Amino acid sequence: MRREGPIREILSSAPAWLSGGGQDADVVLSSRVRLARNISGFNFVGKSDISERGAVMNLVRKNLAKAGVIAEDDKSTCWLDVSKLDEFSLEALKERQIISRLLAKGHRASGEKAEQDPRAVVVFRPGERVSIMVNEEDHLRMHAVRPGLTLDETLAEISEIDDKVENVLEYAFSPRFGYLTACPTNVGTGIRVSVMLHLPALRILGEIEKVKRAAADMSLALRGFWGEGSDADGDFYQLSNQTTLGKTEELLLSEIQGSIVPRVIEFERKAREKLLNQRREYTEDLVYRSLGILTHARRLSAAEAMSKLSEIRLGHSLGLLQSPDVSTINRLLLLVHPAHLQHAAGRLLNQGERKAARATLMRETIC
Amino acid sequence: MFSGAAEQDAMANFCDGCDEEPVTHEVFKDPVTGEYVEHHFCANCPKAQGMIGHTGQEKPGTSQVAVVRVSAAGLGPCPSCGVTFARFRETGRLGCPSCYAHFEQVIGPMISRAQEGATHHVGKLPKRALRGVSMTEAGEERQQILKEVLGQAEERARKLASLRDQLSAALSSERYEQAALIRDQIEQLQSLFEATPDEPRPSGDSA
Repeated sequence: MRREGPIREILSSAPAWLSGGGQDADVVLSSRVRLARNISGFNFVGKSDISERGAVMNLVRKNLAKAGVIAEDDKSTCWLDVSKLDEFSLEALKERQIISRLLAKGHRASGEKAEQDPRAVVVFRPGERVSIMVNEEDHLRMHAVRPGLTLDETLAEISEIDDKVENVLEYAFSPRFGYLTACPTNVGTGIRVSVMLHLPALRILGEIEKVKRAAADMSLALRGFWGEGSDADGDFYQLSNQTTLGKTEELLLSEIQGSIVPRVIEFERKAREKLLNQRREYTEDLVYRSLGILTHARRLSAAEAMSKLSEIRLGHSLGLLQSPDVSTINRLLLLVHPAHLQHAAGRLLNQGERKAARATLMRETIC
Repeated sequence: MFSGAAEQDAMANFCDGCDEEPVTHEVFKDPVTGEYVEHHFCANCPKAQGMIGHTGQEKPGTSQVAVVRVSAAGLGPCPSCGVTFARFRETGRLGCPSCYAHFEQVIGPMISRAQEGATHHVGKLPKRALRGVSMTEAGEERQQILKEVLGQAEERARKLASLRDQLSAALSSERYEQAALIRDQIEQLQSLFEATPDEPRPSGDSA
């Protein structure tokens, strides 16, 4: 079960976005910017056959090297042929939010087998601050992610890569619709700007609905930890733009970073103060009870672990706990998931064994 | 008149009548008078006779099918990739970049509804737009760049109008930081447009 090569190296450290640093890190876990791009002259991925997808993948690989975005002989970037990875590796990359479910699954049109489907991901190491999915829904899905509230720098980083790629590849573009994407809901800028928020106090006080309404009023989406279609595991919510056309990238970013996010941060901090000042005994009980479960349980599900980690993360920000520190708590939010647990164990684990391994991991890490 | 299968397979790619030709028309049964179902026909299907009328018009004497919509305006499949409008409706995905131009008439309003009323892109421009600016001669490549990236008079005017609307909205709601960003973009686009005047098209359709 020990992995070889790039996957083993990737799994051996935590991504930078979980470091616990950055601005407003008590509430904002990470900032992420994604650009969707397609190469002129080719069908979109869903309408391409294997040979066209293969041609796009080879063209992208050659030109990312030519543009200086990836260096073949350098360990700072690694190109992974997703179709050649086993299920465990795919699961691990999904847990790290480097690849999506669609990229892991492949396009199984007209009887093609997923393992023959040409698709890839480029991972920038160390830190995994940038990743580029090739032949997901669009030819290129380029992501940059950083800890804390730092959307400006995150956008700048991915834009610089976008410019380099555009020096060597012509993107599909129209004056009216901008950058052309397979799904018209991404057309225009092709951008998704998102921040991962930790909102335990608002959940405890039953105020999450207000955040949801405020987001909906601004045409923003509020999703769970794993993005589209996921629940808010561990009180983590991704807030992102839905509109991609008719506004500049900077304006879309400022609508999130300059307007709704500061209000949500303030709202969450007030809720935390309220918990501490008006419901101290209840809050202390909640935090120490969660700590007790994490340090003494013998079996833990991923959902329970995420929920208890969320509550001790709250306790840490309220000053009720000094240890474990935030970066340890954040790292555990990743390590509780099946592929990471099995990587640590060095073997495949069934569900019961995973629960036990998860509980052991918690006891050994949180003292 | 219609098989149950046709009703169940309301988003079929191919004509409900002949099952061979791609769908060009969608027919909706009146939701007020009966069950709401959709039927799909190709342009020439004999089974569709008497049902396909004009957009939004009621067809006299056919209470069974009161609302008729010509959805893809007679557009056939995309000449570049072969995706039909019905296929797009089914999957939500277009087949290739050319689909945007081919289906513009029908997807333009759909995109606008999904994008808070926006009709035109105003953000980042491909670098070849800037190459067009640096070209002093009105050669074929420059013309191509104008056509493919910066757009011509109507598109330019719409982009600027959209930004000016956003600027007034930002100013009236005292979002000054956002207003400054929008103003920057207006200035950048204006200077780009001034540097690349919209020239007469090669076809000579303007004087």
